[in-house]
Amino acid sequence: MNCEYDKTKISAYIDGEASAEEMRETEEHIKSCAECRAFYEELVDMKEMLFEMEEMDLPEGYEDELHKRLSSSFGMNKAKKNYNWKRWTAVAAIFLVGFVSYNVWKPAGLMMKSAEDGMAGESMEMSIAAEPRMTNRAIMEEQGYGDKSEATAYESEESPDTFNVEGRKIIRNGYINLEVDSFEAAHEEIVYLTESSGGFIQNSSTGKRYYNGPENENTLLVGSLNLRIPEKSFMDVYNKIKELGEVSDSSIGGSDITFQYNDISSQIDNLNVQEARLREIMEKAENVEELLQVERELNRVRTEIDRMTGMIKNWDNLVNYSTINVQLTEIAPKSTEIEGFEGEFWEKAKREFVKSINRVIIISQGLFVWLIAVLPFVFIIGAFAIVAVVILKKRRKRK
Amino acid sequence: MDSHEKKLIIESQKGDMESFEKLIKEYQKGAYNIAYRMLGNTEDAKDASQEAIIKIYRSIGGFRMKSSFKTWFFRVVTNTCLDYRRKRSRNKVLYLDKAINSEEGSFQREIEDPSDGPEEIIIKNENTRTLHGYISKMPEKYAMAIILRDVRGFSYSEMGEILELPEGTVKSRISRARIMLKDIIANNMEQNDIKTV
Repeated sequence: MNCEYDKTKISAYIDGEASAEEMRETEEHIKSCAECRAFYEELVDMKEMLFEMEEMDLPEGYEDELHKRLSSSFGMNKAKKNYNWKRWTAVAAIFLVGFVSYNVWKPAGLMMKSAEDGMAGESMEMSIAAEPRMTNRAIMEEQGYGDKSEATAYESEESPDTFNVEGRKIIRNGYINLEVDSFEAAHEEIVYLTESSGGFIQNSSTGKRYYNGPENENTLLVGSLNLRIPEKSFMDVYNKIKELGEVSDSSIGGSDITFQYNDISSQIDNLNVQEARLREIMEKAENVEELLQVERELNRVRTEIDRMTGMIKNWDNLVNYSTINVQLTEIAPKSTEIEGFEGEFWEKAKREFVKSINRVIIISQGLFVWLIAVLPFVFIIGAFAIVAVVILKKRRKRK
Repeated sequence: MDSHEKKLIIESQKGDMESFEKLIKEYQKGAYNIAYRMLGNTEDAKDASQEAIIKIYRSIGGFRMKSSFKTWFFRVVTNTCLDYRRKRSRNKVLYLDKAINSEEGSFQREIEDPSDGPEEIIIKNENTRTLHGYISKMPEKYAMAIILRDVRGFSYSEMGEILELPEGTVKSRISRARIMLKDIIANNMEQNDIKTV
């Protein structure tokens, strides 16, 4: 390029981002200089091409995945520190008052039985778990599983045996997206389940995922496993893996290849017959040319048989060993494991904590009924409280 | 910044995830697209853009409303994408849809795919596909300039805020990036011509 004119100006001119004076100057120059005019036109063409690049739509499930990732990072949100402590103290105080008066008064009909604890806990977990499961099913329906070509999608709980249709060749595969507390434990368990069922791990990958740089204490693991499970234990292993953590996504699919399989099998039979006949002909061949011709044909048939036998073998493998893809995501920060304590200690603490929460739920239900019953008293106590607060405030002011 | 957005920011700062999701709704596609153009494949684009949004969520408490949320948002997105790209180049992962760079130039890895992948369906136009390949091969700061200006249509002043550069630098960087891309296109066309002859 020979012209010394500042190319930056031409670029800015195209964007209309130059000053008015520069715009005019560049316009004049482009008119007079053929080289810069060519340059200008090339840039304009390129800009148009770039502009025409299609905007990509967000991939399916993008927002859901983001939502999940945001929720699991919620615990680390700094904004949380700004909580209004006064409000929480008030709530805590109400609970304390409720708890104490409940234990003191123990009104009849609200008697708490320890057996109820477990039940309440269970039903609570169930209602939490039920929701994602429902949506999964809805998604599966939406995606139109059970297409004509894709044989069937089965819901595990309903028909674990539907797969074993006599004589049908069905390639089955399952997908599970699992959120676990401990990646290593879940991983180990899956390996064990796979191996004890007689299957094998085809692929496995593990990686760290960072939320904020490579800070070790916040590092969580993610990984995926590609399992091959003997067809008969597929459902069993699938369900057991689902129990290892919170299932955020799961599906089962199958494709029925019976037709293709039978087709290829009978083709092999035909080719075998053809091969036998060709061999017969070869024996009878009278001259070299004939012999060569037959041999060529025989070679073709042989190759074809090998190719198809290979396909059948591959299919047998796929049918006999179902595939399960497991996506593991660790969700709890590892810092829950503080050194120096026995694992059981924490397990116990956790259990007790959950129990207490359940108790709190039952109590607060009772408390609510009770509160309404004692509403008149509350007004009186409230009046006293207000007086007390006013006095306290005055005292503080004096200080 | 309009008052609606301001309200959503304040709610998000208190930790309200729903408000945050509303707040970023109109920008997340832009983030994904920038990441896609920068990183060259959909998997990384998804991961990097989500990583950026999580970072934004976690640090929104520190946002002081002094600059516009939009440019702040895209600043985090661009930085995250650049980090991601650097990290990836260190890990040397084999990407089937990424070009191979060698001394004689670069070329796409050829792997037979009997089915039409989602990307093939979306990117029908051969021209934009190669253009996309060229961009993700450019040095990162020039690639980013082209993406922000010509693909996403940010103004020079917005780009200045996003990239934390004076406008003059933005201006010359865009110009340089364009010349670079123009040359890449020209070179590749020549090579193709030789091949066809």
